[in-house]
Amino acid sequence: MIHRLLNWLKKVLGKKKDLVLGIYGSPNVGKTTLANRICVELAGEPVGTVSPVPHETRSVQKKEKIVLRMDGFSLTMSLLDMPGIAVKVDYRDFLEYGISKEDAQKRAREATRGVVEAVRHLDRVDAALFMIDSTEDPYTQVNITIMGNIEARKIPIIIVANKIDLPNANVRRVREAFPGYDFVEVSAMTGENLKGLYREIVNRLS
Amino acid sequence: MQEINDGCPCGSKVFVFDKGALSANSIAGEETGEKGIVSLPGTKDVASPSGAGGVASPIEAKGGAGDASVQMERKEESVKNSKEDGKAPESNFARMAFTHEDVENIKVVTQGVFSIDLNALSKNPVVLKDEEGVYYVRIPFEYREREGNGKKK
Repeated sequence: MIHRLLNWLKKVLGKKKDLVLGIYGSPNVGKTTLANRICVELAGEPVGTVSPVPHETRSVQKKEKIVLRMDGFSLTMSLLDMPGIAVKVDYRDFLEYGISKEDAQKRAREATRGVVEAVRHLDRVDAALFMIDSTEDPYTQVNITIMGNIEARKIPIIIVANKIDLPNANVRRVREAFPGYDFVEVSAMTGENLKGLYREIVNRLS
Repeated sequence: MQEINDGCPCGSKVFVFDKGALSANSIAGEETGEKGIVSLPGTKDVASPSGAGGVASPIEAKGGAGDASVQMERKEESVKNSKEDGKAPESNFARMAFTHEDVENIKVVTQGVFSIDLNALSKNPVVLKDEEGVYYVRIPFEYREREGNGKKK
């Protein structure tokens, strides 16, 4: 009852609030694709480059003063696109994409540095979008570990099941893997249900 | 002396002074009447115009992780040079100094011997380099909890 009243008051007063929102997840789940879509829609320009090669984002990419307006409520946020988190980074995984050995080793070093940076940023975000590839098994060591870290810090979180446009997407499997959390399914590539994500951000994380 | 002032061309500025080797060389020098360069085992001789001894070149500090023969030699040397108490000599650790380019905070000096960057470990998750381009990251499962007002406990 009180929660509903507070929400109503927020809407009526059109209260603005700054929010530092981090996008977390394993490599290649679509974090930068989603961040770019949000930033292009709301701020006019992308935040980073997208590539099929894992660990394309190797340092935290930040976009500030993104204004999100939804259902009469306005929210100003800084969006942080985090490097993909992995427990092992192997340069050999990059060789199959035509990258030279030297460049692959350099990329691995940068990617590892990015993982460290992303973990350290857990202390600096107000809320998190935890992205999961809905075509893959969600029960991974990285997913469970990151969720544990976010939970331990009591950071508000929304689970985002991405790639729902793909035929082998299994959203129910993702939802069942993390019960009890706020959950949204999207396609960052096509923009499907992005409005649902915005609504969830405004309602849950502000 | 110039290398100590300017640092090594590889970028490292870590040098090791082996008092024991200097003493041994001094004795040998007194016998032969010569003052020469002291080389630590496993290091290249440093051409120092001042003739200062007991200074190891940092050229070997990083070492090519991809150069297996160099690593094998180093391992053999460290086994040979182990003290009677079984501990690895300090020079092995000196050759594995951490630089600002390093991502890892634990280095494998030799089998069973590790060099740890405590300062980095206090702030970052554990990162271990297996070989050049292969890293393992241990993300702690539990972290300090925050209080209700968001402050860390």
